[in-house]
Amino acid sequence: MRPSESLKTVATALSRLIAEGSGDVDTIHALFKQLALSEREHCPVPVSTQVHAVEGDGKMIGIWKKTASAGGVVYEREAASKRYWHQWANVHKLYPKKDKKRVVLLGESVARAYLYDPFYTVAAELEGTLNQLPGMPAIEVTDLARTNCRMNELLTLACSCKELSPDAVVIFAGNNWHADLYGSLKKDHYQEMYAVLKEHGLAGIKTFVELRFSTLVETFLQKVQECLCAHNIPVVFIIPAFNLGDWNTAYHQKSAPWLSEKKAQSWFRNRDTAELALLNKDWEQLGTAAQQMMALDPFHPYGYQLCARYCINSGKRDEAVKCLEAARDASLIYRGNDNNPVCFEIISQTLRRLAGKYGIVTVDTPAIFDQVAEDDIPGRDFFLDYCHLTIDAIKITAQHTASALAPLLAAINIPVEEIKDSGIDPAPELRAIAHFSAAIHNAHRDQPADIIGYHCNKALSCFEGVKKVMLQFVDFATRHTPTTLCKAFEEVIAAGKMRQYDGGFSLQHPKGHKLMDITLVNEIARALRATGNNIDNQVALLRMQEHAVNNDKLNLLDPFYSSSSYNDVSAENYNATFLQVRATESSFAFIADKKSHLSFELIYRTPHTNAADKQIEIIINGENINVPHLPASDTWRAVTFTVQKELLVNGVNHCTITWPYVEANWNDLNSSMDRYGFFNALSPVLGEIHSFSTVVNNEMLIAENNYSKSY
Amino acid sequence: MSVNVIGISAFFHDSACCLLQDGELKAAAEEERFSRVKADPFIPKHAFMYCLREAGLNITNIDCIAYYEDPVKKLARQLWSGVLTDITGVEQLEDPRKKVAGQIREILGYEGPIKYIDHHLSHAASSFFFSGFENAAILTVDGVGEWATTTYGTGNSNGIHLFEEVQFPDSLGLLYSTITSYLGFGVNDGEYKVMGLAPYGKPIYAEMIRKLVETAPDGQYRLNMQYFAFLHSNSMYSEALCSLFGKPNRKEDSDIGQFHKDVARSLQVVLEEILLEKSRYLHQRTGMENLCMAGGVALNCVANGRVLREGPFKKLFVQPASNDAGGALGAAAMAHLQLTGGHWQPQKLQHVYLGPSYSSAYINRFLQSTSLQYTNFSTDKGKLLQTVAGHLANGKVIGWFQGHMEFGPRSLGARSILADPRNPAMRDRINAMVKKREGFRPFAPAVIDSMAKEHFKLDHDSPFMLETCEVRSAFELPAITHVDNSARVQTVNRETNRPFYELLHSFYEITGCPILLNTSFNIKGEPIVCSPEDALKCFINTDIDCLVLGDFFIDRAANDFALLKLIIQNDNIKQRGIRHDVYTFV
Repeated sequence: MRPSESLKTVATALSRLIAEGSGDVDTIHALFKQLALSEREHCPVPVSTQVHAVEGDGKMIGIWKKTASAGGVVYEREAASKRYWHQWANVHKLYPKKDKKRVVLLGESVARAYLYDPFYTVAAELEGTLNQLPGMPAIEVTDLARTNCRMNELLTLACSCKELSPDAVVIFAGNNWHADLYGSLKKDHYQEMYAVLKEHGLAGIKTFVELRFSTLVETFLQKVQECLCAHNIPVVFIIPAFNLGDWNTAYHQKSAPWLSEKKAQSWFRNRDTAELALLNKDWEQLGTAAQQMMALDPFHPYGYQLCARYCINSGKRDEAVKCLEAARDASLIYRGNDNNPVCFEIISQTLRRLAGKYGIVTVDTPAIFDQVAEDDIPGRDFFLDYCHLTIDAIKITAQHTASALAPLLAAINIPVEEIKDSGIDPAPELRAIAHFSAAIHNAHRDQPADIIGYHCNKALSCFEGVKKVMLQFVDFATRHTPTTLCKAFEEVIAAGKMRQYDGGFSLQHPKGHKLMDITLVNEIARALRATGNNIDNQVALLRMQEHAVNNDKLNLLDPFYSSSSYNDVSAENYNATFLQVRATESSFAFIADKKSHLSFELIYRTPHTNAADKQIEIIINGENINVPHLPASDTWRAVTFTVQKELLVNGVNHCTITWPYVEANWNDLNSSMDRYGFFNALSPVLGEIHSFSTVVNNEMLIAENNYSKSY
Repeated sequence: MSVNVIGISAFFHDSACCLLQDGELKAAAEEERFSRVKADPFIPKHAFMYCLREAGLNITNIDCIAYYEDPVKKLARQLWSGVLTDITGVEQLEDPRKKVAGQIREILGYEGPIKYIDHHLSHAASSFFFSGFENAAILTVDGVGEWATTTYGTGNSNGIHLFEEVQFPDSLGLLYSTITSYLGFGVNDGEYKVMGLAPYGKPIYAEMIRKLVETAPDGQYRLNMQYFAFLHSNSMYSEALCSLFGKPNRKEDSDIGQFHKDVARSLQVVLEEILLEKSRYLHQRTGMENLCMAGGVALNCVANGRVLREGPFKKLFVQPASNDAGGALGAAAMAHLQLTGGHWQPQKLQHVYLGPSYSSAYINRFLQSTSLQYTNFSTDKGKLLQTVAGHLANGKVIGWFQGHMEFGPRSLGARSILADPRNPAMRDRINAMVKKREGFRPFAPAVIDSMAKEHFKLDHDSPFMLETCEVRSAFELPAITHVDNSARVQTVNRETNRPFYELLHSFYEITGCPILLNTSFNIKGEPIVCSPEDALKCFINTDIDCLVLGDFFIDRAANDFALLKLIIQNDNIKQRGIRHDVYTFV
């Protein structure tokens, strides 16, 4: 039935008062009451996400569906979920347990041996290792690992895997739990965090987040205990490690500190000093400046990163580790677009502290790797990226896990030193593809050329035949056409050589966000050159053909030219039609030659400042081109400028725009404190670009030619 | 200095953006074409950037953004009807313009003035201001805007005057959507299918439909709300509707029986009756000869045909983008008038090729990166037309991608699938293998304008495929002739779409038939293709025989797409569409 017609005028009056921002609260309440809005039925508000396990009905275990079989209950991959199969262990059927003892492996990509899977897996290594142990019964390891497995899914699997009658369950997870944490935060939490931030600063936020995290982890352990341990199924939890030695928080170097303007200037001065000292290998100077940075902003990772370099070069290994851990954990309080999986210290600590309370045995890989690395900090020998392990590290992990499982499965104690290698020796081609995939993975996460080059070289040294797929990658990555439709990509998929990289499909650049992969392609070329294959000209020609500035306006905001990785701290707000910059610099790369002058058009603003004394600067290939009249402006400002051909280089050119640092204005941040609002509070926007384009300046060229002809 | 006005429709469905420069329509596009999300409701950011790019403008050049409805009035209607179910207290209510303005500022980055134009005024303006008429009566009909669901008015050089409206919940659009939902099709998406289904049925349930909607004096009518549930549930219809028809609702994708066809026909008949009655009323009130129509119901080309043939008006103009996307045009036109304070110069919308185009060099570079075998006809375009016409005459289905994309829901020879209309197997083949949609759905003909009269009962141009007429061709045209011997004709003019016109001519030279089957270049559930990439993906995923991308010709027979098809299907970008079981009033 329709509401009364007479209420239309009431609704109209109420909407007008609301729109006008009327302070006539009594009238508003009266109209509201007349409409009886508060008395109508309301949909229930969804309860916030909690850690919970879904007790299944035994019909499904992950993607595996229960099917009838003569030999007992078999679980088979469900055809309907085929599109998700690649995210799971490559196992088609789960057979009933027979004469072997069964260990079920649960976990995330690190548990799948990411970049080696499906040809070499943690499950296979563990099974091989366990079956080498003296006095142990025959054992099979059933692999149920899933990439990006979240807490609730892990718990659901823990419950449902009981159908497989496991004798023990191994869980290797914790790298993706930041998503569970942030997923559990609702608007109210962010408002609470905002209040904490105002009162206690970032230290308060750290405490707030850590408390929630430890509660989340403990709840998880408790549920695992209820699901498995309480049913006499022992559980071993492998605590994941992080690549402290070689994972660089490079993208954080670009992000601004969170300080008053005066202190920020000091932080920037110290940063410049530290970077120069690093270049000059002046370790003492580096240490002093880095410590200043840490003291000024204890929650910015860059100071710790630089201090670690000082510590390493001063023989202070343990201090270096502490610095690197602090740099890693900086993303805990969500500053910047850091979505890389990481097992934060608070997670590891909580697992170490509380697992025993719930009857769960732990294998502490951070401590194990630390011990194995001796005087070094575990780095590229152990990790392919931030957390995924090399074959050597997987073997070490499997041996320690086997040692932890032995008493649980057969009531025998076997020290890890007595455990032999599984005998599994992955083929050189498999190793090569893993390293090449690691090079791509590192590049797409903004890692420096050094580590990308290391993995390219390593790939070629493992198996020279990887060259073919490298060349194919160079081709499709450099082209403008979406990767999916490129011939070279099709050839890679057809050859099936990159199956280790998510079936080859992780090679696809996201739609609308294709990068030019300049550093990666350069490192591939460098590695190939070292093996006698020079593709420099081929790369240069293809770049010119696909991307050179010409007579049509080239949009420099296109990710080809404005992004170098998918870890771009500036690009948090993908929704906006304009680029938001949360650092003091924006970088662009474009392809040109020395034959043409270029015209640029830039529409920019500095949303939090209009101070005339603050200027933005434009730097081309390292040289400030001194474009006049680029003041800070909180409204869009259009500027055009020309870059002389003499300033350009043939091939890749770089343009940097510097933005004045401005302290966040708290008053602006009060109203909508959701996740994005909170991010804005911690990483304020310093500059915005609505359009930035370049085109060949033919007029100057013609004028020049006329001038030269006349003389 | 030019006056540049952006028009925007958004936050409901079919969001779109257009640019008027000094009152001239320079560019327009629906957001779904870029985002690839069917009926994308979000702010049209890609379409906005396209409009700026197309006109060579930047954000600082925009004088005004016009939004296609008044959020305050809409809030009043929402408060009245009780759809804001999550509102439990006054403190939760905030200025509804904030959300719209917030998105325009935060997503588009626009800093200047924003004007809010009433929803039906936007529709009215989208039709009248682009009709070319000096003056006209105006009828807008849709589901709902703010309060209005139907408006009556007049337009002249001074502007538009809407003198009467029918208010929510009484709505012909919602009546149609309700029966659409009852028949198992999606709301805002399936109405067109119901119209296509209607000719297969008999109007034996017309009396029952008339119980749902009672006509009233003047322009008014009233829904009998006992049969509708959209005010207070997640369904469009109540149990009483099922009882009235004596049958439960049809489940999506279940068989379509004679009952469903009869209900569709009955609904169509009643809708046409009411529209005819109300157009007579409008004529009586205004005494004008011209009629302009817009609003989602104006996309019912069968009803439009009857209004023109049997109604009192001599001329009819229907806005080709009569759905909410077209509201952007009207809002922009109204804002332009307000800004300039001047009179509107009548301009007839000549074409709707207002979307993006891609140069031959772009397409060439694109194809060079792929493994495709293709032929480059850029140096001999005549040869391309002969080749394509030859393939069409040989029964091939062609994906045709040329020039600027169409604005509005119809493909008109820029992003089209084409075939020989004389081929009796063609309709079933394209429905099943190409479009992957319901078998009953008809296809439309495109015909050389000067020869239209020889084949169709049509005494005027129909460039936008917005009315149906009788087929009376010497050719058997089974692929484009509906069961009632009607067709939804597009007349093609040489000046507005030369490549398509010349293709029709080439086909005519080979076959003597100046007509092609023309359907939109997409498959069920996906937006019409926009870019060469979209076209190629659609081509690979369907059973289209050949693809023409500008000057380039790709023959399926010369390619093996097995692997590419697999790659595309595995593409991790998942296309999401919005589909409603109930009209979204929020």
